Amino acid sequence: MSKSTMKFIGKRLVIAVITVVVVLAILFLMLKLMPGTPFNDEKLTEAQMAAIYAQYGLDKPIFVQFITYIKNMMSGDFGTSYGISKNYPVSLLVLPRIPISFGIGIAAVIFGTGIGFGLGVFAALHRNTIWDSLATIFAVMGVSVPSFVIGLLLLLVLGVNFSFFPVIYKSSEVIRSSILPVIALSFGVIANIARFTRSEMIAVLGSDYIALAEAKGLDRGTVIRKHAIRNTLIPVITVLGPILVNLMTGSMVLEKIFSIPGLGTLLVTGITVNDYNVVLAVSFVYSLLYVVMMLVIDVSYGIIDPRIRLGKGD
Amino acid sequence: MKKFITMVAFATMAFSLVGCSSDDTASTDDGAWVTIAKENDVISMDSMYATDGDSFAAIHATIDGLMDQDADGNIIASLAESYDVSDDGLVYTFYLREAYWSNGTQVTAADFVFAWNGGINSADCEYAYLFTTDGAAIAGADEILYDGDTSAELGVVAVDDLTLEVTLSQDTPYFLSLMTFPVFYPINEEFYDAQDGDYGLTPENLISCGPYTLTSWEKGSSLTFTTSETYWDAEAVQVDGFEIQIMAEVSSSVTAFEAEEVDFTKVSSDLISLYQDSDEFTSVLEGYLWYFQFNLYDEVAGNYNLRMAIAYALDNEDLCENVLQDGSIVADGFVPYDLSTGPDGEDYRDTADVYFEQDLDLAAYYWELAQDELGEEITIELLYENADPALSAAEYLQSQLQEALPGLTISMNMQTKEARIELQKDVDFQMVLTRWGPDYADPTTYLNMYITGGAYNYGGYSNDAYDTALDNAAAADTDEERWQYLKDAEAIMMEDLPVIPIFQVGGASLISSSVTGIETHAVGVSYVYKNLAIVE
Repeated sequence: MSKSTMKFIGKRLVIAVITVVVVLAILFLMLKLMPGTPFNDEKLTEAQMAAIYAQYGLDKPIFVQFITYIKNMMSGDFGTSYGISKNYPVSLLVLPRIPISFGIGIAAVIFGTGIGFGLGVFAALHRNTIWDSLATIFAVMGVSVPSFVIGLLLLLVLGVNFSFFPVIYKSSEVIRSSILPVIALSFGVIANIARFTRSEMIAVLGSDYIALAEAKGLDRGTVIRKHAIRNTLIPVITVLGPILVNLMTGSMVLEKIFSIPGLGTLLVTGITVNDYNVVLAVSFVYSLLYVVMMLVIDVSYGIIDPRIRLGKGD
Repeated sequence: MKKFITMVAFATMAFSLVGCSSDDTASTDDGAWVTIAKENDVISMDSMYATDGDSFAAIHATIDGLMDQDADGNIIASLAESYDVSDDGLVYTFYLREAYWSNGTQVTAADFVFAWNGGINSADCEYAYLFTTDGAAIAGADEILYDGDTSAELGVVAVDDLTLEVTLSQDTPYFLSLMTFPVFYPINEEFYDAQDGDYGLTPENLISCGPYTLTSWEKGSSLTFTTSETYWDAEAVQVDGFEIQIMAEVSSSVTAFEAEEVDFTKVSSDLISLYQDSDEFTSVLEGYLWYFQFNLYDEVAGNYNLRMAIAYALDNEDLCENVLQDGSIVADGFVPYDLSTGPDGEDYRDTADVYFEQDLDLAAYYWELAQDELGEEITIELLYENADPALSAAEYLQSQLQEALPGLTISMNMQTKEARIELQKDVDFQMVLTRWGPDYADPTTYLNMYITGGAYNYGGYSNDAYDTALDNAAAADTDEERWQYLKDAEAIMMEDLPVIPIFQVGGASLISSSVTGIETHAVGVSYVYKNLAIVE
């Protein structure tokens, strides 16, 4: 790795860390401004409330609380849950859910990308035919119909009516119980990738080097396989990062429908019951995921296509 | 390029597989197992800290109390084989049966002493007040909790391993009913201390002395309870265990019921019409009472004639039958049905008066008086929370009252439950749709709230006659006398109308025809699973 690349990554890392801290600070403040407290039981006396606040350090100024939180976070201590699982370490509440949400998200991206890419290439190769129109209709539907509607349909038809798949998410049957949510989640990916691939492929097919390759006498199949598809793939890969992040953060409704114990469900519950530590920890994971993904995308541009330079002088 | 794509593909596949890795838990495929869908996870398995119904049910499945409730709600002996009560009703002596924790140690009176002292002295034991005169009235509890007296001692003593003596500061007729409540359950001190602050957090950090042991707990997903071999009443347990599936969406759990993957699920009001004719549909009366509370410091809400007009204009029957449709019933008074039985063996509500059936003529009469005092056009704000049944009830009540009382405008203030409570505590409301759930089987769990200066008397209601009636009830010589004082107190309150009772919640659910023994109670532990059975 060149020195300038290292410098670029270092710079982006610093920005990433600052971004995460700023996000946490804003969230911290917003949570404190929300009405109610994590201990909203009417039956607590004022003395008990004061004692609880003191026990969890919630009686201190917000700034002190935030610094303490960040300090503890550095050593992997995200505090304990106030309301979702009383006194349970938040890190242990969050960690097992990361692979569940990520697993389903990544599987949906892989599945959706494969199908979407194929569909996009197919539509581009059959441009302005009935097949192109059908593929476009499918892509528009995939973007327009929310994933939870597709999820509910799949659940009713394949889960209840035909009993092909379990309706309840089970950790002992992870693959079987992940298939329906993965399919539901991947519809949007298929649609987006197909539309993107189609337009990229059409642009590539119309480019000079494809005309040159054909002029050299290469057969159509080789031109498409070795030149067109390969060059279409590069921009497609670069949009996968944001798609993946969107899937992670946008799959909360699906997690609810399929009863998946993922990060989205935890975040929603945490917000509902004012479980500050849980909300902060999940938000931290999401922000970290986002900035890391952006970093990977930026760096991968340079690696995938050497023509893309990272900065002046590269 | 090819290398990079291969690398990315491998990395993503590896990640997917991590996500899809199987973490096998106790198999519930074989044997007699029951699967129950619940909307929320268990919040705490520590009886000192648990506050919600799901946690109570899970704790009750693993730990017995001194007393228990049978299917009909009668108080029966559990870990206490028998008990004596002193003539003045102030000293209870419990004789424990020979029972063992799942780690082989015996359940002793010291386990109760430890748990109770832990509860009253813990800052975040929300039910600590049940030890005080607001609950069981155990000697010393008020001094410890309310006065912060560190030298005070709780009146609970282990006379020997199997004899527990409890001293009360006043006669508490519903004391035995309270002994079924989880905060009064035993905790083994040696085991508790050995967990180093982690007691109850995982199955490994728990032991049981009840019908089941918690063998698996995947947070936010499921809990598995397996029949305990060391349980003193093991012969009564007919299943191998049961599983709780956490399913946040009721529509999903109903779908799982259709697919025969769960045996029990709640039904939301929008689905009731689809299932109410099914043999598997059931509706039970829950203890929660929903009512309007008025801020009597406010000029509009403090107007007596306006409150009377609202009380007579309400069509609670239509609300229950056509809007809620979940088995909720009209609240005839401030003490709900199925809460407590009087000395005559009758339910309190059955022998008390019925207040405020809809009467539009009377409503119009009081409305006119209110308009004379407050003006032709009257606006009052209704504070309510953004979840059912409050949400649908509030919307219905707004339109129904505005139609019945022309000139009345009810402005809606929808908040989260947390915000609703905070606004109530800050006395920042005019009229609020709020609720109360009973902590023990006695009318005082409701009536005591509205004594002058009471902690939940946010609207500032005060009437000497009401306070005196409740004082008289506390000092009554006989149960009959006490019961009459309680009814008198309720009548005084309904005359003054600081609150208007609206409905008592019904819980609609689906229970598989192959499962019996899911017991529900309006008071204390709401779901009991000890008697689960599979029928052919």
